[in-house]
Amino acid sequence: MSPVQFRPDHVTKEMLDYAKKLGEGMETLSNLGPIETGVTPRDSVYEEDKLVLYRYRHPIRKRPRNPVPVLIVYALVNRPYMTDLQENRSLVRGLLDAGLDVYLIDWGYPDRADRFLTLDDYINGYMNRCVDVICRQHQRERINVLGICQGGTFSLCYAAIHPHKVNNLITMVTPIDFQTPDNMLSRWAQQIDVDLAVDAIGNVPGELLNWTFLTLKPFRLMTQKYVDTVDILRDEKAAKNFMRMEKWIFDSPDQAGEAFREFVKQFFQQNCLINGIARIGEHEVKLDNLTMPVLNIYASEDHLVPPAASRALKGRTGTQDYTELAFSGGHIGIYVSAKAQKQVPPAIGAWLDERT
Amino acid sequence: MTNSVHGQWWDQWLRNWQALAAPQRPENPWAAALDEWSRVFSPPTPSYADVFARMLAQGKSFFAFGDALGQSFAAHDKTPDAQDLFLRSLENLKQGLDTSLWPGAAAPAASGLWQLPLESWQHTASTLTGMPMDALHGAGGGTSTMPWMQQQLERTLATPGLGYTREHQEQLQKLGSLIVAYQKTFNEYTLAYTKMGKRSIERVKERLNEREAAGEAPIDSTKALFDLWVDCSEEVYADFVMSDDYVRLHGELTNALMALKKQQRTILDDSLEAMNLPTRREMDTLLQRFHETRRNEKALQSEVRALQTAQQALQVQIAALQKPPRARKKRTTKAKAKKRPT
Repeated sequence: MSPVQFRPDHVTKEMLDYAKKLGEGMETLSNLGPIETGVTPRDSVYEEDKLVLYRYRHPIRKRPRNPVPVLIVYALVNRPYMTDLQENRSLVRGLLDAGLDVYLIDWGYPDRADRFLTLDDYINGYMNRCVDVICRQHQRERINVLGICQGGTFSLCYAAIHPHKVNNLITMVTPIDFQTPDNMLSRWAQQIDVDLAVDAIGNVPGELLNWTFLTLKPFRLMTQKYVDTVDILRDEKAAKNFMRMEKWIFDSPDQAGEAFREFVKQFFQQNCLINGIARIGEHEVKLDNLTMPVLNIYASEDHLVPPAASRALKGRTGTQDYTELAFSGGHIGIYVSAKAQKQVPPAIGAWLDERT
Repeated sequence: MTNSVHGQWWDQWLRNWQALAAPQRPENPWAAALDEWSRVFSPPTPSYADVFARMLAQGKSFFAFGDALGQSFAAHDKTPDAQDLFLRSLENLKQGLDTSLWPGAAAPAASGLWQLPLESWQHTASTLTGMPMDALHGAGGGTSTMPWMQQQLERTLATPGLGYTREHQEQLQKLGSLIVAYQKTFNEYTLAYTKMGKRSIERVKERLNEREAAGEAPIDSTKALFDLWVDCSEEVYADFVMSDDYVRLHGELTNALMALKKQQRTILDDSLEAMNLPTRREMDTLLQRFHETRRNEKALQSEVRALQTAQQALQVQIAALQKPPRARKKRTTKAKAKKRPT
């Protein structure tokens, strides 16, 4: 039997159906109204430059069961509202429901005035001061830290430099070994003259990073996704979900030039973290210093941070209490999929409860 | 405007198109109709216009498949062997890729799938440099018909500068050389994409043969075929972009763009300086000094806070020590008395 069997009238009908759906989709988009993200009520508790530290409010009549607050440290390369995208897709909401007191660092949108911010400024400066604020507020010496993606790498560095301030460390989809054979981003970064790039453009535009991320799977992410979308756009709820995600994908802050230079060189090009030679400012980063309990969560189908890049943490820390959690999904699905809502936040809550 | 208006528009368009005699029909009717439709109907609210533009652009890629198939059938009405026709279309597409990915080329619509990453890069490069990068493709030799242009340009750029404005001439010559170097690399990059595009078509053929050998159900929709092409394209792409060749090329392309951008900045700064206006260099110097000052200030604040904390602790200790020895003794005695078992 021939593997393709087309009938011209079927092809015509298919094209016509597609065109009509596109029209309906346009109609839905016209009536959609503004897209809201970051749905859980929260209060700003500390601000510095463009950084805002938020504390999330608990659902009515639900006090945090766990007395040790948890600080979410998100990546610089995208906006942190991915952790609180919508009511039924919210890592933050899940953590609150698990009885945790949740704080989050929003790094903001760096501009030219932030060009000379270094990793030291981000990790030993901003992040450290946020931890101090939370410690003072709760009259505690240590808190729990949950780092996500690049924020996970920051959290590892922070916890290695300031172990006395971290009660428990959780890393989510976090690269530790930046040079696993399946790491496409890392392969591409190897021949980039990052000194030239930062000297030429100062801050690294979000648009350039977007291009990089989209070209990891260009035909799915730039083409097929939009062709498939016409099938869901008749449904206003589905259209809103799609638009939320779309907003997040293209909401990419520029990267402070010096921090970007350091991150690419130390982590992508020299793999300093795993080689034990990373330095943040005047501090050496030694994974041996991670003596607190560590929960390392990775996504088994992650195309941005391959699982092997995350699992490399095992056996390289100084802790006696290391746990791994594999989530069956991708880099984004780990925050927003229905499955993730049921699995990830409750697992984090239970793991922390056992160690409080 | 209701949904049915869109539907009515497309129904009417189809009737009009079908009423045309074959020679009068446009080459890519569906893609052309999509353009016409988007002109007739206003895009959604501005905040969604970008998304809709992306959907429209990718709808065209999809329609290109329909058009390609439709043309094959129209040309071979009496021999409707779908596989033969389809394979012939693929072969044509493969040959078309030799020229279609080059900027400004008249591309067969179906090659849009492989054009998109290149177009996105050109857009990003144009935004970064403020130059229309797609308009400069001839500078790097362009297609095989234009090496003379590149040679001429390189000779001109190598001419030594003379006289009072020699340094300025040299800066401009350097900029020109960097444009040529960038375009050369971009041409190499485009060539790599052409090869990947062809390989993806081969992969589609292989997949179809595998399906036939496995006795799987035939593909009977444009969408299913489109998905197969996307799958094959991703596979071929994923293999190539992990290779040493691609890593080198990607690095060279990025570095060439950044070198160009840096030279642009140098020239712009020189012009600003000549006009007694602040330059980027000066701004960066000031920002760096300011940043260092703020870092020092924050470090000092941190030290002051630590000293204040230490001072408060000391004050508590001093206050305790300053209490009369009797009071201290009395309290100590009381405390001992409390601890004493009864």
